[in-house]
Amino acid sequence: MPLLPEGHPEKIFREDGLRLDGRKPDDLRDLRIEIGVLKNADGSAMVCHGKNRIIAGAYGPREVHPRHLAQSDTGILQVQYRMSTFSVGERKSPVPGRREKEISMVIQHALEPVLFLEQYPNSTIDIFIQVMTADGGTRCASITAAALALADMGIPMRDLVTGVAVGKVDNKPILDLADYEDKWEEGAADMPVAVMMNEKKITLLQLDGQVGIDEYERMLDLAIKGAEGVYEAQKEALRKKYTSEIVGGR
Amino acid sequence: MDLSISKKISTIEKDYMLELLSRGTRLDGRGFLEYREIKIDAGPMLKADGSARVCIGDTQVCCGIKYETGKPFPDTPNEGVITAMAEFVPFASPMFESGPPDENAIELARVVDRGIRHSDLVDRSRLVITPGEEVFLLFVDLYYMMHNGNPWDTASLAALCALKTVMLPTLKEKEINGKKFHVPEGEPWSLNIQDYPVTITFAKIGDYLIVDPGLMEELISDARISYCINSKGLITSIQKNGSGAFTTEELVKTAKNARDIALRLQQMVKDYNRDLTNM
Repeated sequence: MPLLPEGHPEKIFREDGLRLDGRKPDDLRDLRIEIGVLKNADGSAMVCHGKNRIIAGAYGPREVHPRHLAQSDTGILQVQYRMSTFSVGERKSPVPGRREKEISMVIQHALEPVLFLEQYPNSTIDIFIQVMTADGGTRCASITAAALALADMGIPMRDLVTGVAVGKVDNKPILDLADYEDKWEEGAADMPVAVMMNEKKITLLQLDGQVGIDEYERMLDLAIKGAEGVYEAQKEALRKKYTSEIVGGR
Repeated sequence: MDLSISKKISTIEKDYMLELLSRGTRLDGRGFLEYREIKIDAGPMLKADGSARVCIGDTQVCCGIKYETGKPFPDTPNEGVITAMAEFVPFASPMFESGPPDENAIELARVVDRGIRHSDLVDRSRLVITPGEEVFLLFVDLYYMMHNGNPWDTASLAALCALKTVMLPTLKEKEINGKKFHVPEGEPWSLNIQDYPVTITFAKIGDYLIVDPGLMEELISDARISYCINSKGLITSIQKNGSGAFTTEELVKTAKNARDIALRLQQMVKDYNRDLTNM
């Protein structure tokens, strides 16, 4: 006999117009970032965004395995995004699915623009992302974490990359969808975005749902505004790690 | 995954470690029977039904447990099912590569699985929903996060601590739109763990036997032996690994040492979990 699937909330906004977790439409969830959480990786970061718990570790630039993937004129970036079996409501199979492979690829494309890969011919930079708890917007939080792992590794970068999701529920635009908002179906859309904040350039963009062109423009504005908050948290986390290293020693 | 020694450790390093051992000490200054510091974080995985993150020194394993309901095995109709799975997360070490679990990961899962199976850690008869037809299936999933030696003891301890935090629902039958479902009702219950089996691993380097090998020690070791010891001090499973060999004297000696260390470790886990009841 199957278990009763998780239910959905009956309403997506409270009486007072706030979201079910008390946020205003353009509020981010709680965000906590730690840099250098993995002892062996060349760079690493953990992002706790809402209930998301995501760890990214980076290695490189290093030799490419398998060899045939190496390119003589440029380095390559390889990204692996994986969800732990216990990161979601119903146990996920440990075998990587199509979703994980696609997300790995779009994350790779979102990060490539900030790297000087042409400086590392025949080499690879590897990023491994492990989702320990998923709560909506994992690909965005993964990008936020991966960019910091790269920065922690100490290679030159044009900018950080900042991930944030925008969307709408009941046809109202909202920032940073939580899991239950992501699953809402009435007048809903979900648009994960990654931004290079210095030039306000978008490096990842996907959309599920139906939106008009005006709405699309408003959602992009909201995404940039939201990314601002995440970007500040990213920089603060990096600053914190390196200040404590200088002042306190490790 | 390439764990070959020649690529990772130079002869000079190996000779240095052997010389240290001949003087009765180890690379990190430990004695032969000295364990590294243990840190336990119980219940950190918010969507797991039980979880733990355990560090032994700089080695880290995260364990999350999920339950499902399903058919029991035909030969044990009145017992629930517990399965362990281990994955070496590629960021755990520059030596790791991505890909499906290899023989090392599978061995790790099996060592943990046998440690649970042959001790009295979980009373499987309590996991029965309808005898012979439906039972709880517990998936003990281990993620090796930081590779710095001795994943076996770390993973076993993570599984034990995670099982300790597992909460299962009391399931009631309910009909919704003509379909029958299980619905959680009333207070969730814990596995009420009474036995604390822990795994203690020794590495053999030359003629030296050292407990809880660090990464460098593990890489130059000729052989390893892991004992799972329960609260009564009984050995509940053994795994010998590596191409070296042990004499019977060495085996008895390591078993005795393993028992002494295990009893201390079990006390630590018990004390720790007592504090956790307030969480």
